[in-house]
Amino acid sequence: MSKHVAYTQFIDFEEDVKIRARDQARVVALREKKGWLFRLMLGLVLIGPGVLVMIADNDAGGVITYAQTGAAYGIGFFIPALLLSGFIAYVVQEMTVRLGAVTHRGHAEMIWGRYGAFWGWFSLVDLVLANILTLITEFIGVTLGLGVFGVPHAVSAAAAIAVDVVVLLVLRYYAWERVSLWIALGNLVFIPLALMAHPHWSTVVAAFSTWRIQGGFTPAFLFIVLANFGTTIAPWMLFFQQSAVVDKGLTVHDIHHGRMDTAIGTVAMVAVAVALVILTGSLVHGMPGASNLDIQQILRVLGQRLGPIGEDLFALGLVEAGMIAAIALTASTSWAMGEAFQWPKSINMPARRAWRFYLPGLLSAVIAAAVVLIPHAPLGFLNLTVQVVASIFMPAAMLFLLLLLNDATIMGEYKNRKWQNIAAFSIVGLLVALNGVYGLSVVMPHLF
Amino acid sequence: MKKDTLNLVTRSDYPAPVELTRAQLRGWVRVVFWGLRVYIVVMIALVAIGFARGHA
Repeated sequence: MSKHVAYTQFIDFEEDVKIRARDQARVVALREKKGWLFRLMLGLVLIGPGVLVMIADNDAGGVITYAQTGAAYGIGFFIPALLLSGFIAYVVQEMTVRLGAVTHRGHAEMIWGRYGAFWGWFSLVDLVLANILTLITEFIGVTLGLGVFGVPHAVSAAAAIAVDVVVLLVLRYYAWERVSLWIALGNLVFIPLALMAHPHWSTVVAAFSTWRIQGGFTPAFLFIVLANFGTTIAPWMLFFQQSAVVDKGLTVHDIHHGRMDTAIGTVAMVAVAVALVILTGSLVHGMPGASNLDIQQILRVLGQRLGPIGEDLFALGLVEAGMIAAIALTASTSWAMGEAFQWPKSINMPARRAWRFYLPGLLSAVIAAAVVLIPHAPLGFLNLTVQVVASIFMPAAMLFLLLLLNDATIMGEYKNRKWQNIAAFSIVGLLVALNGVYGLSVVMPHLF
Repeated sequence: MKKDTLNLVTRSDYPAPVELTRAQLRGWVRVVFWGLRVYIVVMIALVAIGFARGHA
């Protein structure tokens, strides 16, 4: 038996087609109609994976990281850096749209099938571990946020798990995506919060002309830079968006809309991240000990400066950020496991038929929630650690993506163009350089 | 609970997933993969040192 036959023996293509026939029929019907209203409706139907991945990237850990960054460093360095990281995120995620639409296979499936079991296992273990660590930060966000309203941590963690389970098990892909998009809208709450801070816009504009590091280039600063890049682009995002594109049934005809979807998501992600840095950069930065405040202390300061409404809105934003990311990460783990082991792998499938697909994702969420409820667990440490670990493993994930996108036998006319390769390899170089400098700061701290 | 949709209309023109065969790693790609192995080992060691020294 050849490797190819061995790998594909569990795939039932006809079943795959049938389970997303309704979604495909909706897209085809809209595409055949003329007029701006139907074009708008087609755009709204096709929007989803890109917006979801980008908004879910502004997760509870991200919100905490951006808030702490603004508190520690103000708005001088990181606002231009966040615009750059938005561009980076778009370049990376756009590649997953093309790869998914052309191959109709998820990222884990492609690595496993193309580069063998060693790299398949490496990517899968890395992804699942990072997802569990990241899920811990999501439950930190949910429990901390609901804690502001007096909800006990055990109750809020159980409620978050319940929402995650219901959304994933009860809804088909399209409904799951629509419900998730509505939840994702809540991420925008940080924008009015930033406006409530009455920032000095001249300072925001000046950040672009005087791009400098307050306090100098220290290991602590480098750690924050790594954490910010780690929260902007992460391995789970590649796996998630490609799997979502495949599960949605997008084809090469949908790549244009997939790009628009990703671009809209990028703008929203950067806008929220910048809003968070402006918020805490305006209200918290400069206070005694501002560079060492945890998120609860930052919440208290926001409550003092903006009143209870400000504190409550921030807490709700934190809950939303944790919830939308938990939904995305759970699906990401399930898709990756299903792809790696060739289980039935679609959110369209009923739980009784695809229990092996749903189980790993939901189990990872339950483990993460349980860790958060352990008394005196080092949650702040875990939050920053997950960002650093994600940024260190990102070059490996990027490498597989780039190899696949440059494979003419797979991608044909949709393979990477020269500028896309230049941009993508520059991103890998930047990540490796940042990680290298971090490594140097560890081994030779006297250099910094 | 969601309904089993296996009996819904079939769209036979939905393209099949690409065939997957093992890539032959030759030339610079082979070098890149060895570089990746070294990078991963070095970074894991550095992160372990960093955590032990309390950097993170």
